[in-house]
Order: sequence, then structure tokens, then C-alpha cells
Amino acid sequence: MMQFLQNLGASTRTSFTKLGRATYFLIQTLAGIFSILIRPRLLMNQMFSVGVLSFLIITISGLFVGMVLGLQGFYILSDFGAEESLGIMVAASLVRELGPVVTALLFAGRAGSALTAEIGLMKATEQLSGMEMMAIDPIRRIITPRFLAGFLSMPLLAALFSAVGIIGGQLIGTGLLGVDDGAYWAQMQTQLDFYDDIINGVIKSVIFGFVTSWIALFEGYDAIPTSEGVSRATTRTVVNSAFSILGLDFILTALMFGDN
Amino acid sequence: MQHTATQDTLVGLFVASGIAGLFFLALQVSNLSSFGDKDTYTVTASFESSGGLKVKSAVSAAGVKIGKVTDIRFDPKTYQSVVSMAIESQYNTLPEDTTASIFTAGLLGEQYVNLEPGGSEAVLKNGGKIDLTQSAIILEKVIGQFLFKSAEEKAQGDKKE
Amino acid sequence: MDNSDSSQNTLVSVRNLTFSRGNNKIFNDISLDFERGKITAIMGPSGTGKTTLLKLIGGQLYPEKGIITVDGENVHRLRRKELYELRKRMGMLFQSGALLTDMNVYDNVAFPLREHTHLTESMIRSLVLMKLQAVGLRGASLLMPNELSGGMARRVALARAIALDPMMILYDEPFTGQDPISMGVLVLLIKALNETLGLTSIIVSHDVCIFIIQPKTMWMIYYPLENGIEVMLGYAIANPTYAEQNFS
Repeated sequence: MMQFLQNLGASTRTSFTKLGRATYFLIQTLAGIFSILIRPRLLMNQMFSVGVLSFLIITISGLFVGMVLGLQGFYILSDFGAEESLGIMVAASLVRELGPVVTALLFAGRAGSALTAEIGLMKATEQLSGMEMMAIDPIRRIITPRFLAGFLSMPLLAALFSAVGIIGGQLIGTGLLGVDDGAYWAQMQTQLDFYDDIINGVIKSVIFGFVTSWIALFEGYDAIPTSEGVSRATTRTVVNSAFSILGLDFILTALMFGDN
Repeated sequence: MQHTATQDTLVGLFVASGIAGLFFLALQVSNLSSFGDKDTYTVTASFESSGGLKVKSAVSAAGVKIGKVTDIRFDPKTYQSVVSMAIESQYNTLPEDTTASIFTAGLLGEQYVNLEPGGSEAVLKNGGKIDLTQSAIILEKVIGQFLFKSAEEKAQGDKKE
Repeated sequence: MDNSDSSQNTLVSVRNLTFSRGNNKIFNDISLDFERGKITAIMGPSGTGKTTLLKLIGGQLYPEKGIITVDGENVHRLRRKELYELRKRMGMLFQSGALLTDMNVYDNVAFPLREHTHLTESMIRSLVLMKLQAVGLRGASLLMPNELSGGMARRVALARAIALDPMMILYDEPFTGQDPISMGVLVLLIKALNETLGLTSIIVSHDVCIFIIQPKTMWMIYYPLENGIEVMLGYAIANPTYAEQNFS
């Protein structure tokens, strides 16, 4: 029993230490933002590898998720004779929940794991140390641009996901299943509020982008500099990001949509 | 480094399509285009019961949406429900004796306020009050009345025989 | 241990350094001097903290006790900015080369120049080609690091280390895993750089080949205690003129 408590105490302490390191890391990263503004080229390169390279997976997934929503929604709604509400159902679930959450999960899998592996390998191959010895701060040069790129790309990707999904739902709903096209759009236009739904969805994805990029970069930076250490760090990125995204989504949803 | 130009183009495309997606959501999907921060004026109406009416429910006249409900409160003096509505300024010719009714879209749909213009020369102004109101139809009551009535009729019919 | 007077000729001096990793005391109260403009070698078996010593000198690690001064400045008392200024005057050659894998050879060598100077692209170009010429790899400037052999990668890293014309270079195991020919090339390079540019060189190696380079001073790391906890640095081949006597 004592042993158990001791272990528990020790592991709690380790996680707090890690959280502390992560926070210090975040502060250093944020402190580097100013230097990025002077050199936007660094950000552009990362926008490319973080944003553009995630573009395809996000749009294709968005299209399919929207089409599935269209199908499933139609079958459920037609039981109640409410097929006309398909538009609002597809749009609300995409804009409020699926857009930000699924995008963030895909982002963690696609870009987050890549970032962790990249940073971890740079650490393992002494590239980060090498930079430090060249009097170049690796956090500013390497981490901050990636962080900013992830943070900026996420809301764009999430908006794309939702938009493509809504169009996918429309393709299935009005093209295949015969829902009235006007009703599809009109229902969502009257029922979705710009501030309550769209902006809140964007806020969600901004927060997810922040957290996912933070986790991915920190896990890479904090990785044990061996192949095994990097592979573990990559796994941790995906797992921790998924947990954080879903947990935060619950909290944010409760805060944003709770009092309606 | 030699890929810079293509890379710039792709990043540009990415950012543009992301922003296009946001615009699409804002304009095509949400109510921003149909009812944003347009100029509105507020009128109130008191109902016996506002039923399932909610803030942001539609206010329409002749089937066209012209505004939305901004506030619903209980008046402790008259025991009525006071509904405030923001109506777009372009529809400023509603007569004073307009009737406000709470209708339901379809059998189980959303409730909304329907305005039926009267014949008065004077028009409603900002802060004006609609006096003629018709409360929400509460389905349970209607069904109750219907059942009661048909039972009564049946009883009468039985007597006649 | 002979703590000779820290004369003008000492570029790096280590005084009473104590450092441990976990419970393992890697350095226990050691003192060393590195002479300006000369090659100093540190030799010892793996795991005795040779790389650690270089990292301590570069200010990447902090000692528990003791003072390390480089060119008269206490490395671990400097503020971040001052430390970075000092590092611009140091080059370090890592075991793996530590080339940035997402850029080609040319951009790797140009990297410190682009980061720290405001030179025009044409000036950077001539500087980079000059440095690559110095290590004999001018023709490889468009290759990516993964296309280089180990020896070439190390020479590119050396070109990068001298890009900012530093006053000293720290070599971490430069000869590991090299075939005799590329090792010969490296040895010649290091010597040439030391002589022509007047660079102070600190070379760390577990390889006896270090003798070929004819260091001015040689420090030997060995385990004086049987249980191997305490590690000491000292004159094993005790005198500073050793190399000169044997090789010149």
C-alpha cells in the first residue's frame, strides 16, 4: 500500500514536472512570435507543410462525413416526416461539432505526428543542439513558425471541412434522396446563427489548433533522442491530442451552447 | 528553396480556400445574410401565453420573415408574457392595429410570431406596442377541448335517441 | 594536477568543474586549460563525458560547481544574448554532423550567414563556395545531406562551423566511423584550418588516430577508481610538448 502511494506520488510529480516544462516551452514559443513577424518566410514554409499538405485529407474527409450525415440524417428524419430539416441537421452538426473536432483529430494524426517526428528526429540527430551552438535559438527558428502555422491553419481547415461537408450533404440529400434544395438551404439559414454557431465553431477550432500544435511540438522537443523515444513521442502526440480535443470540446460545448 | 514560387501559390490557394469556406459558412449557411446587423426597430406585444416561442424565433408577415424575437419576459403585474421583436426598418409601414399571433410552423415545428396588418393609418414606431394579440395555441389544450367536446356531443346524441 | 597560470595564451579555462548526470558524477573537481591558437586533444574511453565537456564549454549544460571561461568570459554567468554572441565565435562539429536535413549542402553552409549577417545573396554565395572549397566539397553544393557519405557530411559540417570565421572549433569525435582516407582528409583539414586561420581547436576522441593530428596538448581521461564512479581528467601523457617531440 505504501509502495502504491509512493508510486502514485512519484508519477503525479512527474506529470506535474512535465506540465511545467510544457508551459515553459509554450512561453518560450510565444515569446518568439515577434521575431517571426520580421521573417514571414519561415511561417510560409510551415503553412505549406502543415496547412497545404493537410488540405486534401481534410476536404476528402469533409465530403464523406457530409455525405454520410446526409444519408443517415435523411433516414432518421424521414421517419418523422421532417426531411426538410436535413439541411439544418447536417449544417449544425458540422459547424458546431464535427467540423472543429474531426478536423482537429485528423490534423493531430496528419500534421501533429509529423511535427513530433520531425522535431524529435532533429533533436536525435543533434540538429537542435547544432543550431544552439550556431547561436540560433531553435525555439524561435524551428518551433515558433510551426506553432503559428498550426494555430492559423486549423480554423481554415475546419471551415473547409464544414463547408465541403455541407455541400456533400446537399449532394446526397437533394441530388440523390430528393429533399427540396430550397428547403435544405433555407432551414439552415434561418436556424443557424452567425455568432452562436459559426463564430463559436471557429473559436473551437482556434483552441484546438493551439492545443494540438502545442502538444505535438512539445512532445517532439521533449522526446528522448533515440528512435524509440521519437516513436513513443509520436504516439503520445496522437493520444494526448485526441484526449485534449475531446475533453476540451465537451467543456467548450457546455460553455458555448449550454444556455440556449 | 527553388520551390518557393509554387509553394507560395499553394499556400495562397490554401488560405484563400479556407477563407472562402468561412465566407460560405457565414453567408450561405448561417443567418448572417438574411438578417445581420441591419437597422431594426423594436415593438412589443403582450400575450396570454407565449407558448414555445424563443428568443430569435422568427417574426413574419404574410409568410415573409421581417424580424426576430429579441426578448420574452413575464410581466408580474398583468401576468402576461411580454414579447419584444426587432423588425427590419425597411418594413416601417405596419399599421398600429396590427394583430400579432403566435403560430406553429407545421404540426410540430418551430413557433413564430405572425403579424397581420390592420387598416389603421397610423404606423407602428420604435418602442410601439401591439395591442391586438392572439396567444400561442397549446396543443394539449386543443386536444383536451376537442376530446371534451366530442364526448359532450356523443352524450347529447345518446340522449336524443 | 598542474594548474598553470592562466596567461594571455589561455582561451578556455575550466576551473574546479563538478558535474553529474543522475547519481553519476562525471566530473569531480577538474581543472583544464586550452591554449589559444593551438590544437588540444582530449582522449578517453566512451562514456567518460568528453561530449559533455564540450557541451559545458558551449554553455548548453550547466555545471554544479566550478567556472568555465571562454576568452575571459564566464560562460555560465552570461545573459542569453551575450551567450549567443559568444557562440557566434565558436564552432562545433557534432559527431553526426548535425546538418539540417531539409536543406541542401549550400543552404546548410549559408544558414549561419543568413541568420546572423545581413550580407547580400551574392556575397553569401561567394563566402559559402569559398568555405566549401576549403573542405574540398564545392561540387557537392546542391546535394541533400542524406545523399552524403559520413565523411562528406562531416566536412560540410566543418564548412558550416567555419562559416562565421570563429575563433575556436570544438570537434566531437571527428574520426568515428571514417575510413582511413576520409580520416586522412579530415586530419589534414583540421591541421590546415588550425594553421592558416589560427583557430583554436579542441578535439575530443576515443580513437588513437588522434595522434596523427599532432596536438599541442593532450588530456587523457581515465578511471582512477575501480568502481568507476569518479572520473578524472589529467595529464596522462603528462607533458604538453609530447606531441611536438614525437611528430614534428
